[in-house]
Amino acid sequence: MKVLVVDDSKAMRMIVIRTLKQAGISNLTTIEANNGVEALAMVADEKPHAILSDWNMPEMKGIDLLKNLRAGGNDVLFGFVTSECSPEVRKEAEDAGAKFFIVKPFTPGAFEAALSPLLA
Amino acid sequence: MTIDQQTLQQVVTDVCSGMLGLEVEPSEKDNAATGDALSAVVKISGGWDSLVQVLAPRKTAKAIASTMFAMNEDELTEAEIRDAVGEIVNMVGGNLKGIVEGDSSLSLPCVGEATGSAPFDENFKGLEISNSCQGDPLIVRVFDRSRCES
Repeated sequence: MKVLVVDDSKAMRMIVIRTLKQAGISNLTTIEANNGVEALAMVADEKPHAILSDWNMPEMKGIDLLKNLRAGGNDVLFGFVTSECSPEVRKEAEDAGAKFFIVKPFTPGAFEAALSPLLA
Repeated sequence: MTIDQQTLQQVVTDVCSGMLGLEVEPSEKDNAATGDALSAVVKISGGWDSLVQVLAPRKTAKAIASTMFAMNEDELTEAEIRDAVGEIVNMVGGNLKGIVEGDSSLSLPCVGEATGSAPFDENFKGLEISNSCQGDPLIVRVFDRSRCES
């Protein structure tokens, strides 16, 4: 499974990838983007099975990345991993088509709970 | 809900210990913490108008970055150290914003040398907690601008 991890923090990208491995996602391959613009450019060539994105990023926010993908007809499995946790933000994510929402700080269990039903 | 010392401590503990596995516990304020240190700040705007600061002496900042990157401290670049401290304040600020009612927005973190400029100077009048993080000082401050501007 190829997962694109999008976050402007290199430290957080490393932690997310480590946590994905700990959560036991099988045949995991990860690729990384620094923001929504980079991610959008990578999606066509890399064809990830899932995208895990931060919310707040320079250049293009995660929600705008999701909206751009959906507007272009791409229905890749998309979820947020973010410190944003207000009901308003969650609703905006769901309305735009996000399948899961993981709040930082998180544990491997949170990744398992969010991803397992979607990967079964 | 407003943010008090206990809530702030819980959020900092959740971020640093719960997720990163850092040894964090409340401590007496160490004035040396405000010397050669990095300051990471996020601004919360809208329903709750605040600034959140993480103040980490370089030794603490390196210990945090070492854990986050799973690298030895002497292998870390300055950018990686700043990135790590910035992500701590991003998580703390984001969680605090989620606790306070009302629709607010969170800025990207701004990380630099701690200069002691207002409002985060010796006359700071907001909420402050002091912690020991991996044995070194870590200070977290919240400046609620709607309460403190007068």
